[in-house]
Amino acid sequence: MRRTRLQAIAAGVAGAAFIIALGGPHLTASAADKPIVIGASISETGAYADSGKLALQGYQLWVKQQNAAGGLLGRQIELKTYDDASDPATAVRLYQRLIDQDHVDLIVGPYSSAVTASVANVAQQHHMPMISPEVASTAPFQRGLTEIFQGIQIAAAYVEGPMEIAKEKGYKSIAVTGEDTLFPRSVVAGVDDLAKKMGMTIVFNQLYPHNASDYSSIVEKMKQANPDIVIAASYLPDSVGLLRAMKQANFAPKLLYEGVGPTELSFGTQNGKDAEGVMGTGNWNAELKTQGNAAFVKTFEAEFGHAPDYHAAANFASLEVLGDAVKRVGSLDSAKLRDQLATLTMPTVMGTYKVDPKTGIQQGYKSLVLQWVNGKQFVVYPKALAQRPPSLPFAPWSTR
Amino acid sequence: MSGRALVISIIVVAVLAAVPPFLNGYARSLLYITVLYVALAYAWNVISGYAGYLSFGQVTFFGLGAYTTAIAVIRAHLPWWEGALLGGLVSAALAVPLGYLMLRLRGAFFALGMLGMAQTLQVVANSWQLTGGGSGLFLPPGSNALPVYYWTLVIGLLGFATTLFIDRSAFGLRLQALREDEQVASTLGVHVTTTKVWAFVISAIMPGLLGGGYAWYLTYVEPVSAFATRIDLQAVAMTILGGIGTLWGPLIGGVLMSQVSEILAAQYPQAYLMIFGGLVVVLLVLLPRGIAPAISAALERRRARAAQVQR
Repeated sequence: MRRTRLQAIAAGVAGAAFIIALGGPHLTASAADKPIVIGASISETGAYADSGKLALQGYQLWVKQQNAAGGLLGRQIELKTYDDASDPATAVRLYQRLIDQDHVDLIVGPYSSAVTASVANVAQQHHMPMISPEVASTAPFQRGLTEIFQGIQIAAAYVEGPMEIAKEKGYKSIAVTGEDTLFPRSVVAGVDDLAKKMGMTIVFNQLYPHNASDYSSIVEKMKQANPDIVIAASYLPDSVGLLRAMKQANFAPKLLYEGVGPTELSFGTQNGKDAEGVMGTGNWNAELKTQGNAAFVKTFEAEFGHAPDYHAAANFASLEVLGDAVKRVGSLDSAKLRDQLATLTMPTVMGTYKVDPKTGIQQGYKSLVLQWVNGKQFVVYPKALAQRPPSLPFAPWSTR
Repeated sequence: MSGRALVISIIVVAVLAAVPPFLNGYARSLLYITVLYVALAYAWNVISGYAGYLSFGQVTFFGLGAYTTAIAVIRAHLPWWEGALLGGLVSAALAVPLGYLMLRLRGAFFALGMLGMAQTLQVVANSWQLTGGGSGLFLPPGSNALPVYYWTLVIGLLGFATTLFIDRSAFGLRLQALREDEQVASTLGVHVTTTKVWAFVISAIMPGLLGGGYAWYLTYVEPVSAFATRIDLQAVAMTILGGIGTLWGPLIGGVLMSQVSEILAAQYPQAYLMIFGGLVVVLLVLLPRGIAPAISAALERRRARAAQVQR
């Protein structure tokens, strides 16, 4: 008898909880006088939290500005975001929630490649076009999906800049390394072809695992290959680790490129003099002479009390594009919006938005090569946007 | 199971089976994730609840199932559920030798050993060509959550049935005996190694089978999210909250935790993790053995009182 009661109650509790969960509040579809709701999930907690916050602020600033300027199609705009804790399964559920339950009118992409790869499937199934401002690898766009558009520079194009610079200087041999995850891999994916085209040779090519703690062995092997230039597709922690191991091994190539790590301001503060001459790729820069950039930087600082980074700029730019597409279409018709996003060419704070209509891969935004010179970051490539010529060769450790 | 409980259980299962086609994608996903975690909690409860070997690495088999399925679908063009079955088999095949090896460790050493196991497989997935390295593996897009949900529901029910069996069988008694004192159990004639390896295999097959559905559902597998410690921690927290080593614990804890966290996340997106963490702490302070034992104790008290009044 005791067990029966217990079981009955437990089963009842479980059943009731499910029913409560399924019968949650349903919002009614938005009418013409209601705000246009744009939905997204952002990694506010978890592995990508820091950059996720800046990405979110990029979205928020655009919505605020646009509302002050009269909104969109005569309606105000509301941003509805959830925290996906950097977890793909959570992000999938949240986008379904945004679309099925909250009935948002438009969606924009989440933060990080892994999350976007899964969310893209949801966008596709609901025929909701989605600009993804945080996915630099092209793999998620090459799966036959028709509803996702890349809102940031493609990673494979990152290495063009440093290799062009190296070619001009007459450097010939390349060592390639980087973290073995999706994004860094896509960064170095283009090196082979480029090297052939430019008549350079790859003398070393080996990646290191995510969260590596010791770089001395890989640096030692690189040193033995004696390359003119080192192309490392690194984030901040590994770019610092590699640099320190190179100093320890007294290995100084003529040109050192370290992916996105050196673009972070803390790269300079952490490394001091050792950072001198290191190059990296930035997607955006506060000094950039793109349309509306100066105003964006100013209002962003006024609004949030700190400077924007490229995440904030890319997310802001994605909403610029989406807003423009809505204006051109004159409605929220998702099929027409999709076509518009696929064919549109438009200036944003990031540069000129233009994607390959078939895959949605970004073609318009150009990445920038930044270099640390005298304790500051300068754009050194492309020439049209350069703040100063590249400072080469990379100084030997003994002369610092 | 007694008559009334059986009837209620059948109704609950029937609702769970019949309702999802009529739900929207979000409700379906929420239901799927809830059932998934309840199933993972049942898997964990066997080795850690009944056998007393706390593991923080059962996600090893979950990730193994996910990768096996992805490779089976991409390379061999098998349907995903065949890949997922294969994932279960691979997990069992790995669990037998691994069990013999790892179950020599006890307490914190076993827990850490299993944590290390998950990390090891993550590194392997990160560096192996077959698994796509850090880029991961893309499955064909357009997957439908419904078949994955039913797959997961069936495995969850099997997990429940297995636990029911363990709860009432000599095998279960042997497990609990070795949980209380392995040496005494051994002198009483329990074949300790075989018994705990069996429990370990049961706790490995289920995540192995579940991982395949998860991969298909996400359409993408990569090392970090496939072997995420948070998946383990969630199943562990659910079981402990519901009542570790009990039949109803994983169900009560799993349903409660996933629903409450979802509701909190929607209402307080900025602070929900803090609130949620606080709630779990308060509940565990008030009910240190979990919810299921507390309910059963309360029922017993009431029954005793009723019996006294009658007398």
